[in-house]
Amino acid sequence: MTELWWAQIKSVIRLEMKKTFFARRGLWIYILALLPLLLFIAHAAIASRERERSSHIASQSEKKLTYQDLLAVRSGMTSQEVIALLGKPPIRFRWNQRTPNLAISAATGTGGSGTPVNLSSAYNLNGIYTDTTTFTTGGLDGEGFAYSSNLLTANRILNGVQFNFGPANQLDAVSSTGQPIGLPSGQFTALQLLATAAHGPVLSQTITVTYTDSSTSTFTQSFSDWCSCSTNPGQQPGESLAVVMPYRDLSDGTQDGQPFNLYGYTFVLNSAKTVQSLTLPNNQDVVVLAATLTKQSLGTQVSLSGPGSFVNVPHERYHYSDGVNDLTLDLSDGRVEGIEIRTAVYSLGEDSIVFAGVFQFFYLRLAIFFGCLGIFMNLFRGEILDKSLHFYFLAPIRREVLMVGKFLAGLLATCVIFVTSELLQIVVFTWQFSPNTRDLYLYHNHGLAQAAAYLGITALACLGYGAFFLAAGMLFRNPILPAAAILVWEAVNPFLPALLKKFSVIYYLKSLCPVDIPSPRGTPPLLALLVSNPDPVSAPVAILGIVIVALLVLYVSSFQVRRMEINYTSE
Amino acid sequence: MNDRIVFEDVSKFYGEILGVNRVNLSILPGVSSLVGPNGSGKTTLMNLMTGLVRPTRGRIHVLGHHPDEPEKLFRILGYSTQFDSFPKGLTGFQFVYSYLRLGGSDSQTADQLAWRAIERMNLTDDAGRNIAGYSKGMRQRVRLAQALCHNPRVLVLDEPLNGLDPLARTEMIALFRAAAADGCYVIISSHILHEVDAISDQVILLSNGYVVAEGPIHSVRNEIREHPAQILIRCDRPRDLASKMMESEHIIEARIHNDERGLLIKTQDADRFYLMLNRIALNGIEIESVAPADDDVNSVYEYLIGNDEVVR
Repeated sequence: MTELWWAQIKSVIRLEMKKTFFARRGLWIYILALLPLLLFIAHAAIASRERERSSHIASQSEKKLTYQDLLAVRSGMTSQEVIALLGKPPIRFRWNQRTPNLAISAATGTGGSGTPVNLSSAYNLNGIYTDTTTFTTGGLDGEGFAYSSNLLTANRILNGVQFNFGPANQLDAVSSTGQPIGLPSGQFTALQLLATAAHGPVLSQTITVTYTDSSTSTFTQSFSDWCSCSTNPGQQPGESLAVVMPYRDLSDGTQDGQPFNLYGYTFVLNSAKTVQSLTLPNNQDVVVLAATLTKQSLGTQVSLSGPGSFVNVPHERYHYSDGVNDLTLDLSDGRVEGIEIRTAVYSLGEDSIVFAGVFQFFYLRLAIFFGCLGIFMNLFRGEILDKSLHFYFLAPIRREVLMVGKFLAGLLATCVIFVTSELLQIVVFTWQFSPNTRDLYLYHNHGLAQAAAYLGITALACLGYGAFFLAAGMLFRNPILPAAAILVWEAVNPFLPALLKKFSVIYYLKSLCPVDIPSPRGTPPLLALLVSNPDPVSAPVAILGIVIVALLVLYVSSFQVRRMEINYTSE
Repeated sequence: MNDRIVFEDVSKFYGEILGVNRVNLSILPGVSSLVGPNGSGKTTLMNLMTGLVRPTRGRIHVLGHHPDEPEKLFRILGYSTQFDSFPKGLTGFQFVYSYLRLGGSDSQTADQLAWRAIERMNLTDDAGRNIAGYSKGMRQRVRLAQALCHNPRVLVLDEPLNGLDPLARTEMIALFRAAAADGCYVIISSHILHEVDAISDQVILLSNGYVVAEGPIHSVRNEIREHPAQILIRCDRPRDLASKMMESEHIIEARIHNDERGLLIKTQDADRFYLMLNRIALNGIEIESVAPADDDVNSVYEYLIGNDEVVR
C-alpha cells in the first residue's frame, strides 16, 4: 500500500510542479524571492565601486595610512598639521565661500556696555559643554546636542553690548516655560537676548517685560532653529545672526560638523519706567542663553548685527583613505571644521547584521510568508477557482494521499524558489569581501554554519507556513482573511503568553536565526520586543516544534479534505 | 448489494436548496438513463454516486463500495462529468495518462491504456495538442476517454453526447450498448429523449429532486393509468376495424389515418385491446402491423413531467 501511495504522491507532484513553476499568477512570488537578491547585488556593486575608489585614493597617498591615522585628525587642526599627519591629500578641492560677516566678528571677552541679567536662578538646561565632554543630560535640545563652550566662550560683546553665558557643563540655559525672571532694577532703553529655537523654528511667541508700576511691554517674536541647515536661519523679523559656530557638541564627546547659530533679539523698552521682571514665552523649544539691559539711545528696534556684510572664506576638502575606510575633511580658513569618516560599506560585522535584518524582517516575514500563501493556498483553492479539482477527486486515490502529494509539491516548489534565492543571496553577500575576509568569515567565523542555518530556516519556514496556508486554502474561500489573521498572529507573537507563542511558526524560526539583531538605542520597548527574542528555544526544540506544528495542521486538514465537495457554482 | 448501485433514502440539500430528496434506487447492469428537466437532480445524483458531493441523509453503495472511498470506488467506476474545465497545460494524452498514473498505474500500463482509450475516442491525431485548443466535441471525447480508460464496470456519463457530431453520437451509443452487453452499469443523463429511448434498458425519471418513476420504459408506461394507451394499427379496412373497436367500452377513441390504411386507437386497457384485436383479425380484416404509439420515453416524460425543455 505504501508503494502505491508513494507512486500516487509522485504523480501528484509531477502534475503540480508544472503548474506551480509556470503559473502566470505565480510571477510575483519570483519577484518577492528575488528582491533581496537584487538588493545584495546592488550592495555588492556599490561596495565594489567604493572599494576601488578607496584603493585608488590610498594608492595616490604620499604614505600608507592606517585606520588609526585617519582617526587621529581633530577638529581645529590646521591644514599644515593635517598634511604633516597624513601627507598631502590625494584628492583636494578648493573654493571660496561667501559668508555673512556677522556675529562671528563679535569680540569675545568682557568690557562691553549694558547691564547683564543674571539668569542663573532660571537655568534649567545644560545647553553648553566643553568639547569632548560626554554627557547624559540631553543637552540643549534634550536629544544630546549642545553648544560648544570652546567656540561660544564665556562672554561675548556684540555691537558694544556685553553678554555673559552660564558656566559650561552645568545648568546654563533657560528653556522657556512662561516663567518670570527678575530684572535688575533701573530704567533701560532695550532688552537684548541671545537665544535660539530647537526642533525647528518657533513662531509668534510672546515676551513680556513688567515694570514696577505693574504695567507691561509685550513683544511678539519668532525664533529660528539653531541649525544653519534649517530654512532661512536668522531671518525672522527682529532676529539676527549673533554667533555662528562651525559645529556643536554631541553627548558622546564628538562633534556635529555643520554650522550652528545663536541669534540676537532686541526689544525696545519704556525708558521712563523701571523694569521689574521678564516673562519668557511658554514654549520649551525657545532657549535663552544670555540677556542684557542697555541704555543706548534707541528710537526703534535695531539689529545687533547691523547691515549685512560678507567675506570670502577659503574652503578646502581633503580626501584620504587607508584602502578600506575613507576620511573626508572640510577646512575653513585653513582649519579643520568638519570630519567625516566613512567605514567600508562592506564591513563584515555590520553587513552580517544587515543581512540578518533583511532575512528576518523581509525575507522570512514577508517574502516567504506571502510566497507560501500564493503557492499553498492555490493548491486546492486555485483548482476550485479553475473548476478543475474534480480531476483529482475522480481518481482512485485517497484524499489524504492527494493532500500530502499537493503539500509536498508546494513544499518542493517553495523550497526550490526560496532556498535557491537565499543561497544566491549568501553567495553574493560573501562574494563582496576580499578572499581573505571571505575565508575568515566562512571557515573561522561560523560563516558556513550561519549559511546552513539560513538555508535550513528558509526550508522550515516553507514547511510551517505551507501547512497553515494549505489548510486555509481548504477552509476559506477568500484567502485575504486567513492570510491577514495569520500575519497578525505571527506579528503579535512576542506579546503572547508563553503557551500561545508555541502555536506559531515565527516563534521557532526566530530562535533558529544565527545572528541577533541589536535594537537601535532609544527603540521603544514594545518595538524592541519585535526585534529581540527574549525567550528563545534550543535549535532541536525549534526544529521539532515547527515540524510538530506543521504535522498537526496537516492532520487537521486531512479531515477537511475528506469532507470537501465539488460545488463550483457556490464559489 | 454488491451487484447493484443502491440509493437508500438519499437526500441532498445545498444549504436550503433541494438537490434530491428521499431517493431510493436499485440500479442493475445495463444502460440506465436519468431523465428530467434542468435542475431536476440528475447531476446531483451522479455526483452523489461518485462522492463529489455527500448526501445530507441516506446511504449510497456502488457495487458494495462507499463513495467516500475514492481509492476503491474509482477502480471500478469512471465518471465523465459535465464540468468543461481541465487542469491547465495538459494535452489530451497527458490528461488521460495522468489520470491513470494518479491511480497508481506504472508508466507502461498507463501509456497503453491511455492510447487505447484515445483511439477508441478517435482522438489519436489530436492527442498531442493542448486541451485548451480542443473543440467542444473533442473535449467531450477526451472526458469520455478518461472515464473509460481503466475499463471500469460502472460508467457514469453526464450528458455524454453533448457536442458530438451525428456520426460520433452513433459510435458512442454503440459503445455504451456494447459496454452494457458486457455486463457494465452505464448510467447516462440526457435531455435528448429519442437517444435515451434508443439506448436505455431502464429510465429513471426525475422532477424537482424527486424520482418520479424508474424501471424499463414499458413497465413505466404501463404504470401510468391516467393516460390511455395509444396503439397504431396498419390494416386494409381501418373504418371496419374502428367500428368494431368502438363497441368495446375500454376504447375511448379511434382515429383513421389520412391514407385510409391505418388507425390510431386510444384504450384504457391495453391487455383487453390485444385480446379483442386477435378476435377481429380472425374475422377477415388483414392486420399489417400493431405498434404502441406512446410506449417511449418521450411520451412517458410528457405524461409524468410535462413537455418543458424536452428535446425530441
